[in-house]
Amino acid sequence: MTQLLVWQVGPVRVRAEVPLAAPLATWVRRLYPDARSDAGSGFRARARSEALESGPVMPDETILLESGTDGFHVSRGDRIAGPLSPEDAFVAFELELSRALLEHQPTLPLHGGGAAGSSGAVLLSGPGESGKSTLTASLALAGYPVFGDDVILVDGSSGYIQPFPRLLKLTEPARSSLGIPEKDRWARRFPLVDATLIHPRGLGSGWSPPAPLTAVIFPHRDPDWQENPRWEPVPPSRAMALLMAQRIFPVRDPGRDFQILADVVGAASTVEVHYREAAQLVGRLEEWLGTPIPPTEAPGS
Amino acid sequence: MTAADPNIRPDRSTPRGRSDVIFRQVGEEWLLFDPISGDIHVLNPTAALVWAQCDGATPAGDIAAAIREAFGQEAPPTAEVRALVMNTVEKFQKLGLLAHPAKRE
Repeated sequence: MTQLLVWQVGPVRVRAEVPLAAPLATWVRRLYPDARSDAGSGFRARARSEALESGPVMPDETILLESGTDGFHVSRGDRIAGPLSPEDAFVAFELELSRALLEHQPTLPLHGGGAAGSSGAVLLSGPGESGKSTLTASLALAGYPVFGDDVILVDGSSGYIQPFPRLLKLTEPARSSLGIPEKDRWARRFPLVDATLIHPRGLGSGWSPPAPLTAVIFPHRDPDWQENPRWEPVPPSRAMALLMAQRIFPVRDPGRDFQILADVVGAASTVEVHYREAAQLVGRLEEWLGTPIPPTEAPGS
Repeated sequence: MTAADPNIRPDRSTPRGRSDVIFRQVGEEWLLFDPISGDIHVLNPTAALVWAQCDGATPAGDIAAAIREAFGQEAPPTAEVRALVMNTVEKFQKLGLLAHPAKRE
């Protein structure tokens, strides 16, 4: 039976008509602890949900998760994914939910990872396979609360880095090398993304509070790198170009984004590093981070 | 714009930077960001001084004078500075960073 869910997450209302409402609602609550939701079926649920909605819901704020004869389908506007297994449908749904939330963020969302300590925030920026997820997980294992390994937010008014609570995504070699279980309370393997998704609580950490940026690190992981890690300063112009390329919405307001990044990059160290294994870098990153700080209250704890 | 044309007075032109182009110092570098092309240009200190005065009201000749003043006693000859300014303005123009081609009188 299809059930209707409505979430109010920050300024965004998201609606979903789903056949797996209970586990999906549990997962969303774990990821977005401030989400208010209403679940149920039929007319009464719709009435309750309409009461929760205090204004019109735009089509792009409606995410549908539907079951068909060939599997599950997730759609939002003209974006459609499927057919999918139930587990992968959850991942696809969460991808759309996070995208909907990001589109409403007043902050600047960037692809990137990182963590915070007593001295401030370290932002890890780079393309896929550069090692930022493994580095972020390594910092979480060292006790530092993290911002995420896929999306972080830059607050233009404060210049602080803010977390965006999406599960950390680790490839099989990374998960294995870090000694993280494939499946437990906080970790689960998902074929759609060919990775294990893990909450930072599962690494002994949590989500970071907002923190000022102290360093931007551009990692370059090379399995064949034989030397010690090579750290090199990056000129601000190159750092700006690399960070501008990591914006999630590159055409939305590039001038504003440039100003925000100029503010934070101008006050931070910008460094690139070539290395083989994440463990080689943690000690040096701790010099920028300082000592671990407590995470914000972890969802689902 | 060619200096060989006797009817052209490049030093009387009043270049104006596009209002949407962002001029920022980031660390030790002066940057121009063109939000339309997405390009980031790194300016040397002299080019930064020229851009800062591309306000549509300051003649290129006055920009050159200001730059000579900034150089102080080590300022190159006037003609050399004027040529430097005109070359820089021409580069800005070729990059599409000016609001319109510099006026010619």
